[in-house]
Amino acid sequence: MFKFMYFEFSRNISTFPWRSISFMMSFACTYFILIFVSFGIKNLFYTFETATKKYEVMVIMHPEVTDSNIQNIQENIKDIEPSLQLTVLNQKSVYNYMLESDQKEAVNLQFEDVQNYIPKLIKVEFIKISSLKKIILASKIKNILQGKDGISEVATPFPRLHRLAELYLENRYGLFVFLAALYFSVFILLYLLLTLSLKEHKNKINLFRILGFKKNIIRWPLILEGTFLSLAGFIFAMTAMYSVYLQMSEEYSSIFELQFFSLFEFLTHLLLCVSLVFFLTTLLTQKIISDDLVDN
Amino acid sequence: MQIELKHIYKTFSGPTKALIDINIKIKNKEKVFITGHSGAGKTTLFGVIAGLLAPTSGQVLVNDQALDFETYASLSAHRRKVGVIFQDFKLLLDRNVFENIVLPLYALGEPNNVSEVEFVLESLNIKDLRYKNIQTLSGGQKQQVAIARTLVQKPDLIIADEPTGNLDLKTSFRVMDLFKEFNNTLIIASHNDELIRRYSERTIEIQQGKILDV
Repeated sequence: MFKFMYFEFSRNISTFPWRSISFMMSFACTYFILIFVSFGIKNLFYTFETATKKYEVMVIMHPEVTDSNIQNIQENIKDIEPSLQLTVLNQKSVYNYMLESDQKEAVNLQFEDVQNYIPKLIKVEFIKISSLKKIILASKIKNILQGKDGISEVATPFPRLHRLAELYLENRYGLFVFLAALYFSVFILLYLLLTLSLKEHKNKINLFRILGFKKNIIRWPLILEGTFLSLAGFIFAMTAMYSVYLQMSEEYSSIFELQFFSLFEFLTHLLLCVSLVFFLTTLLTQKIISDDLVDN
Repeated sequence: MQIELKHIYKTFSGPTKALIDINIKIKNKEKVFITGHSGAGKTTLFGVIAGLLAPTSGQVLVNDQALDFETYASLSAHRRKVGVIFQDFKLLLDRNVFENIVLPLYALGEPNNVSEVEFVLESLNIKDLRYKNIQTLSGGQKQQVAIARTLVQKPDLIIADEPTGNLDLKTSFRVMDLFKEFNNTLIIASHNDELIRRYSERTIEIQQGKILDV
């Protein structure tokens, strides 16, 4: 009987190759939408993560800023988030820091000569704070301190990420609703696709039922067919996504770094897509087998 | 196979009742003809007897055992013992004649019993059609293939809905002779008076879902 089931499965695939290809491509398109959105969300968080690995905000103050001013500024920052770690760097430390950094050329003078021009700094470090919160806090610090007495500039790394993080936070519930709607649409699309595919086989299914074939012998070739086409569609969609990833990596390598799916994520997506089709085909074949066999 | 229908009613969606209080007993190896106009309920009656349609109410007894319409396994076991020849033949168009005829053997778990297929092809004189695609056959040839598929099954009961409708008289008689040789229960729907006169042991007339005359 396994031989017969395999024979029926391979016949289903090969008898009408264009039908099989079109179903496979429909699966591929459906999966591509899902994979593309997953890829986008993964890389959004990946960007937040990589950008905030060595993340600190520098509050640059005028050289003549007083100690009480510095005290005020520190209190303002602590009001935003008490767990932030603040380090005040005096002019000598800033001078040494600049010497070690790329600005060596600019300070090719003795400390005493430039003392009056070197700013004082407050270094803000984020301890045990999530990457997204780091960006949001940095943005808050900048907005609150910018323009205050004694402050020359608030330097935050990757300032473009502020807007992105804010957008994400403002719309995250909308994003969840969008994702839920997307998954539901994919479910409905797959359901319709499989219904269409099984309708093509309805005459054969009914004949097999009339002849008294056992349920599993009718169902398994169809389940295998659906799963196989779904698997092929998934591989096609993933390959297309990989080529999009390569293109985007090359195009935007100077702006941000992209990451493709890990093996675990690949397998999770594969399992999700294929098991969904497996489940739906099982459900639909069960329904067809329970339908009336003789039309009114 | 002995079939007994007790107070069978069948209603489809809508007000029409397809079968109304059907009570018949068909003895083992009996050859029964069923007559009636189109839409009288013959196909529905055949569907109920073959286990293809569950009655709205009533009981179908097969060899004095009630047929369980709820369980697929019990229904498929019954269907393997019943050969049905449909008016529209129900052949698979993407396969050739041999592949269509051999199908019931897979249901029976005897796919290698090719000698039976050869015998039936020989008896119906359609050996030369063996590898022809169904789509290239005439209506009469398709009907013969449908008949061959049922005979290969060696069922305990054959139900045939106008089995000779597309055949010439000579072929019709040959098919009916084959059915006669088939030493089991036979239920045939036909309008052909000549066939009924020659081959019927009992004729049942059905009209508007009711048995009119037995």
